[in-house]
Amino acid sequence: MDYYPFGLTFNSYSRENSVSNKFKFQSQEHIDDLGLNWDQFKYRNHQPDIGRFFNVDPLAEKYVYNSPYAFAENRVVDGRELEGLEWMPVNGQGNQVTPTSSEISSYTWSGYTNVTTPTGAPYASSTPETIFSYAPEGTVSQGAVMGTQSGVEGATFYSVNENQQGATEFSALTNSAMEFNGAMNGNTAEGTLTLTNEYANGKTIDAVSQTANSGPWGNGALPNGNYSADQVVSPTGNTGMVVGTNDFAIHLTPNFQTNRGGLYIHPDGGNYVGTLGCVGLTGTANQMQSLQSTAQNRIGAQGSIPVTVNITGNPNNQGGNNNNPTVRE
Amino acid sequence: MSGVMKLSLSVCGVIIWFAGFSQMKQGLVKEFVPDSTIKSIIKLAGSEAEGEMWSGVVPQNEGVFKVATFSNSCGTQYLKMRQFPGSFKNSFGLFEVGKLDLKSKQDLKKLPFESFVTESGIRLGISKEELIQIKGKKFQLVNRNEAETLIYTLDDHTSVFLNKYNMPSYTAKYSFLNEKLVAFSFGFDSE
Repeated sequence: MDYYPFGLTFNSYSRENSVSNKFKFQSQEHIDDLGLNWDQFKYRNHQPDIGRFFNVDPLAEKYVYNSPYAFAENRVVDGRELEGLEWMPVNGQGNQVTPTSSEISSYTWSGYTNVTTPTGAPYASSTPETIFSYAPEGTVSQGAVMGTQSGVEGATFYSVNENQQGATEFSALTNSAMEFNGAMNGNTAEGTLTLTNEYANGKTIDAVSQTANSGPWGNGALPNGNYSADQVVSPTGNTGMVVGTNDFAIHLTPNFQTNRGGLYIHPDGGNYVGTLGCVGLTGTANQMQSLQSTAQNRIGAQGSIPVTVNITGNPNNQGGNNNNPTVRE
Repeated sequence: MSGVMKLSLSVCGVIIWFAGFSQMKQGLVKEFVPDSTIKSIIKLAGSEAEGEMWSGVVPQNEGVFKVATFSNSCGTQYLKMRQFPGSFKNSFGLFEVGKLDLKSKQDLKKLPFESFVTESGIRLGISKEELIQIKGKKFQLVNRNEAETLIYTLDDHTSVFLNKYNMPSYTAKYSFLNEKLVAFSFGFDSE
């Protein structure tokens, strides 16, 4: 069964002579007796055809900003309905990011951190003095959902505060960086390309992460070192950089001396696995699309994205040292 | 010797003769030998600039490729060289040769060659028979409008030629109009 965001169905797949599964949209039992056509959540019944609950929200007084009939507070893009009582944020993989009630109740508060005055010259005090204390967060349920708030791009972080209550904090996106970490397998580097967002509160989220390769053709794997991703080229005009509808290449400028040029991160298309020395993306179509749009946005916002390439056993190290006769650097 | 044995020996003989003939015939089919230069001077995937020819030439962006285009001495042919991503500076993986139209003539740097000829003697104006005599019959034929294109592909990973350049495949395309070669290209797959 396929679903629209509020649970209305389209397409139906079933094996012959099989008993249909009643627990469908958001794992809730679908009731179609007497033509009711609703999803039975623990506290209320949801009508997927109109995207509304049939019953009034039992917690309506607590959530006064919200319609008493709204399903998942109408936020089905980055969350889901929890038991018919409230919206629950989920991450890109659809997993819950808020701390569960058992995590909150079992949360052990680690105490306060004291910030003290420095001692010795040129400071007047010879003994440290506590000037204020702050409460560091614990380690449980460090979930977050990326999104915008009042037009500011950032993320909402979900954690547990010092009072052992679920806490939320929106923090603005400050910077993004990419890393390709891998190891040589024959003459091909295989690993993972990750785009990490840094936020004003000091936390980070791996916004996009997917498998990738580099080499073995031509001059072999991309040299280890630091680069700046400064442009997204699309379309590329190169079938070797096209996978499905993904046709883009993120240009890399090396921050070191090399005779090689035209270095890119791109979908690993064409007839052969691997690249001529770029980073070839081998993840899903959605991951590639996500990387393209995120890189485009971040290059627009911060000018360029710092990129680090770290391939264990890479014969093409920074500066062009090469001991591997089959890789022509 | 019984009749059955005689018949069996005769059949075996025919089979052996036929196998030998097939092998001999295969041996006569010319193997495709790839070109890698123009005039044995401008080389595919060369690691250095070819001296003076690059003076004042700035390759242009075409998608993710860098492209440099030259003309012959009398301005009737062009040589377009395509640099692949990840290559060294002025190292090109694909050459294209064709007739030059009047509009493009003035902008291109002229090279001191009367025509762009490969090391095996392929040049614009030769006939299809001449080409097949040089490159052999292992081609794929594509007809489009009035043009006829012969495509030769080398993708055998044990090939000494491909291993030399560490490339997965090589393709040469020869386009004929009215039985005369009007354009050709040769080079590697731009993975």
